[in-house]
Amino acid sequence: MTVDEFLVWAEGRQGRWELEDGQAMAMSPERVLHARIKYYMQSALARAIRMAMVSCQMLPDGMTVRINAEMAFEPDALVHCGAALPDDAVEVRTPVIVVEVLSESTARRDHGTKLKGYFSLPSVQHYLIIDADKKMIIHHKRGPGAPIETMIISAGVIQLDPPGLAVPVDDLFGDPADRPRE
Amino acid sequence: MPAIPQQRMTVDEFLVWGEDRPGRHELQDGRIISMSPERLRYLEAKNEALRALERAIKTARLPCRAVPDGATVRINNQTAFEPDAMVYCGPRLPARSIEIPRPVIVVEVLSDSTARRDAHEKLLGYFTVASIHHYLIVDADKRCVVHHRRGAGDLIETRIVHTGLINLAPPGLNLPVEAMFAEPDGADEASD
Repeated sequence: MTVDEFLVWAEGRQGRWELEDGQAMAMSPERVLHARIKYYMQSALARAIRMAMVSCQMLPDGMTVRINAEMAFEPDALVHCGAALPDDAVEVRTPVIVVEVLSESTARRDHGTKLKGYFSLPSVQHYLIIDADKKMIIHHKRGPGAPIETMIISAGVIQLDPPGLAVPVDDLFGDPADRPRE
Repeated sequence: MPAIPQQRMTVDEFLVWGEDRPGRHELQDGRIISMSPERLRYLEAKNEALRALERAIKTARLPCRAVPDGATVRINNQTAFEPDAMVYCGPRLPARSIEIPRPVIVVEVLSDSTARRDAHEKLLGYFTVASIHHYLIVDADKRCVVHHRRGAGDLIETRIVHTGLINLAPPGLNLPVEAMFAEPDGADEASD
């Protein structure tokens, strides 16, 4: 099916779905660690947006990103800049940052199909893949020329520029007691 | 087949354990990982990759050698991988070598059983080996190659290549992407 058909089909349906090459793909239930790191990342991005005072919004998982007529993904978090989206939007057309938390079942797609798919959208500047087990982040950034700039980060600060956000790695993996409050 | 030892081991212990043992194994964080039997397309792609590397070395007239799968690359004290193909340069290694100490290019062909480790753990691991400048991940189903290249500082340059030449400098090889794949199957497979 096409993305338009998929969005109609998926509305009100149980579970989370993505569309790859016209095929609907169910997303597996998540482990606690995956869910927790996803939440930390969403919070860290929201905090970084406030600190940077830029006109962007973090949106948690649930939003659809259309790659082409037959491909649509649902990142674990995303950042969108500019005018706020309408309350009833299901799609984010111009995400700047997309995040996936790696899981056993999705690793191949996260590194292959999604890497290619997300960077086919001109708006996407950063694609972060988080390995919750190894406490590492693979940061793919759109480079000035053809290559994507890839960094493997396990400490310090993730620089997301544009739009000018700084996310401390400790916000994701540090002791929750030390983490800044919401 | 004898059971795989459950206790953690170092790469040195692993290499002794693996000597003359049937099957292919790797060591990840001290644990032995057995490699599954592979589909024909994977084996063909591995073979094509090796031949493409050999041709590129010959064309470039460089003192480098392509090595088929079977040789070990030591990542650290507790992790050792066996790439599907690799290239090292400089003097020829002794015939009895089981380890390649300073590979420049490593290649993995994605398969269902290895995809996660190829795309993720091995990306993290290979770039901790200072000699490795290029890590090629071959997707024979989608007929494309993800080329990770060591850049300045901590940076890795990533390209998704479908056609044309992959520039592997150093050591100065040019690898035509199309040569990495066997002839396509019938039109029924051309759905990508």
